[in-house]
Amino acid sequence: MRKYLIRRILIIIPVLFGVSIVIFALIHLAPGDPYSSMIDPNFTAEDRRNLLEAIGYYDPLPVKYVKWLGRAIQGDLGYSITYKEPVLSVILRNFKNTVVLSLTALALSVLMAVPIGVISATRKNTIFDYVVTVFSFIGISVPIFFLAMLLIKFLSFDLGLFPISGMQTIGSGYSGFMKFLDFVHHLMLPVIALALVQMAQLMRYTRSSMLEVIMQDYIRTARAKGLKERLVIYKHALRNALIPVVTVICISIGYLMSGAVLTETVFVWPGMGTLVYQSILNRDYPVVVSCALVMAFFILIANLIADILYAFIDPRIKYE
Amino acid sequence: MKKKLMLFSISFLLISGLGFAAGSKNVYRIGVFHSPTGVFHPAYATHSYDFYITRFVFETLLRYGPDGKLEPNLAKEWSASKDGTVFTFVLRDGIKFHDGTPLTAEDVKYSIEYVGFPDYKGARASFINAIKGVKEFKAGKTKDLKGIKVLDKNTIQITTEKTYSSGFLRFGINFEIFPKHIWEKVEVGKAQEATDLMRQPIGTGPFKMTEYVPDQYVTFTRFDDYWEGAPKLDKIILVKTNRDTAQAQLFRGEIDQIYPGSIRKTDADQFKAHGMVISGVPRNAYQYMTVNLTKKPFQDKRVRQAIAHALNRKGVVDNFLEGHGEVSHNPYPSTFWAHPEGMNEYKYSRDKALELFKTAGWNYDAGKNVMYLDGKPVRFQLKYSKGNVVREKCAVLFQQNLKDVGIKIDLKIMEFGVMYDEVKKSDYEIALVGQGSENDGDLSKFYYSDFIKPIGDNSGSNWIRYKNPEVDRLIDEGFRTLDQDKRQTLYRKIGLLLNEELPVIYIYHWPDNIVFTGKLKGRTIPPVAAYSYYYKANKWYFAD
Repeated sequence: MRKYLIRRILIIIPVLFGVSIVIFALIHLAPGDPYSSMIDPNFTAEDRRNLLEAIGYYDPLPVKYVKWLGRAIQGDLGYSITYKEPVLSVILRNFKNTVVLSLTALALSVLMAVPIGVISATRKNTIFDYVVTVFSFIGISVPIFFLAMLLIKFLSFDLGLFPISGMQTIGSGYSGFMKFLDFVHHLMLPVIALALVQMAQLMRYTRSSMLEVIMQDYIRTARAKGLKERLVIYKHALRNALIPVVTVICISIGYLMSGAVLTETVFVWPGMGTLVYQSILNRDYPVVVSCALVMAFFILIANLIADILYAFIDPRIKYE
Repeated sequence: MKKKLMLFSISFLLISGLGFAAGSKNVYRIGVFHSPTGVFHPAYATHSYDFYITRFVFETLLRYGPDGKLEPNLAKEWSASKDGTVFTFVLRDGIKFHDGTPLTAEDVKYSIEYVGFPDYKGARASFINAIKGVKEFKAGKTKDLKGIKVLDKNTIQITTEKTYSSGFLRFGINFEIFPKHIWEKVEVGKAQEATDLMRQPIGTGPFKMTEYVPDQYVTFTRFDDYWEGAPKLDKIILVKTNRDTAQAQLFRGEIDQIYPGSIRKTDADQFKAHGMVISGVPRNAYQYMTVNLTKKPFQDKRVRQAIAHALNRKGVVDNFLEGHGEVSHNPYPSTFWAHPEGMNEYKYSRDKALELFKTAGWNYDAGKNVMYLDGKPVRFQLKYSKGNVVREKCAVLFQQNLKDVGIKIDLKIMEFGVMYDEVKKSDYEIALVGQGSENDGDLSKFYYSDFIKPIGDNSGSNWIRYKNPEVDRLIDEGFRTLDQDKRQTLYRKIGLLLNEELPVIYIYHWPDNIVFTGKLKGRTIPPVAAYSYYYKANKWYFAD
């Protein structure tokens, strides 16, 4: 197991290296420059050239990459061109917000989706099952930005239950517990949007995986020896049905950490998704490359965790 | 399971029912669609959204008044020598920076010469090129910039090499004054790395910036020692807002103002129904179609006039802008003082267009609806950029309009930066572009032949490569005078000439819109886009 872990962790290094080269090349091949979109038209071409020179824009690509890599290896991810601030502090600031949003949404969706999926599988072809199936179909098919807009329209605008966007009531001067409540209040709508979509997926996975397991011989055996139905379902069946579900959850953690771009944009949630989107628009090369690395890192780690969890859930799986 | 659901829904209701105040009193919230980036230093800011901060926290010597003309701001008096080379500004007494330090002429000198320091790395170096002795100063040969003198603690004198007709605008409007005692401690070349200092700007404005949270908001708090009187509002906050939900937030009172860009008629009705004020601020700018003047067919002005007749420009204003704008016939909008009378309006007329094409030697085959030039059917490519909805619609409309006179147009939509680079290289046939003008009426940047650079050098600002000795002469004359009446006559003449010549085909002028709550009173918005949004913000208040 330990050997396996070490090998998996070591593999991360060359992968990140590859990711950095590809992203670095792609973002620099994209037309435009950091001062092509949001700059005031009063500045002359000469002035712009000076700005670009100052950030090393005219260096050949390989030179730029080597310069960047040299610093990155020493832990210096560079300066954001837009924010004029170390890239690391920009990323940390946004990452925090993404973690809160994503983990809450994930927790909520797992808590709801797994039980509902199980119930819907055990009561196959009942009204409950049909309703769940229809809802999860809708959840999978509706694009999240549209769902988000609908939620805003009904829950915020018409009913006035939640604020429309942002992370806090700005200018309220709340402190302490009220500040926290206010934050939770703002968090709810984006969490609901994100969780609904995730739930739809998870429910379907749980349901089909559960259905498959219930058909197995050992479940019939368990029932035949007179175990209570609850024990059969939640102890014998669920544990086995969870293996594919865990994979899905872990992979989605990886993706969630890279920020839900659309959700964050609609709700003006300052997370990784917003950051990446803005940075690409602004051609903020150092930030884009670093974000890509962070995302790649988390996706790899999430996969690794999924593999480890297998071993716990299913004792037959062993890593030698 | 049921218990869990119950608990969840109870807490859900509790939190949502707590009744958080949607808008607390005396705080004015402005929704912006992009977060300011945190470069709040007047000499270094380049991002358009950072100007929402620098133009508020810092002030200029002069400002635009309600009539669009310059009026006193930090300077109470200003004058120029007869030959227009010596500019004198006298500061008001008793102006204080937000940290309590009094403002002096030394701060003004520093704020202007700052962009000429040899290690300055920002984008404003060219702003002081007219000042005497600037070359030596920039090269580091002299310690002082010869052309700027502090006469006493309130008086500053700036001397230029030649008559400088833009002097008042340049020195009075383009330089926000920042405190010398704070910034002289930081090396000029390293100012951008002084992130903390940059994000706590100290200026002289009616509100001081007290908090900046990237990607969320910027808070300004009242500055009671403001020279024009203490503000009535407690706070003004810029809130990052999603364009798609901004309207809903406005109606719900989460924010009090937005800059919506163009407004559709249905939106305008909605705004009004909710008690909002829509203020259209004229923009000294225009959208146009540029035809490549380095290519032979377009060098004949009759061809350009024919195209102008062929395009349904009025349709653009009526249908795409829904009336929020006007058809353009020259660079100056009708709200600007240099706008001339008696221009040719090039009304939408297929017959007129065909007639002009014919006199220019193009042959139209009415049966096939094909235009021929030198025996070949005419076909051009039209380049335009993504992002501006109206422009995208224009492209399609114009394609149809030109097809009506037998010209086939291939549309090519591109990313703005890429298109701009190609167009500057004269690598295009027809393109749709927008252009802003200087607020002082000078058009040299775009029409003066000295600013044409050879193809391949993209630094020439006259990239349409238009050359007309008469226009050059008039621009020159405009350079040499500070007499406002004389300049008006000159610039009107240029306007008329350009209207006749059509170096580009002018399409429309459009206003910048501000939508804000009708509860805000005491606000005046001078008719100069971008510079006038915080005019006398100390007088703003909420009516109950």
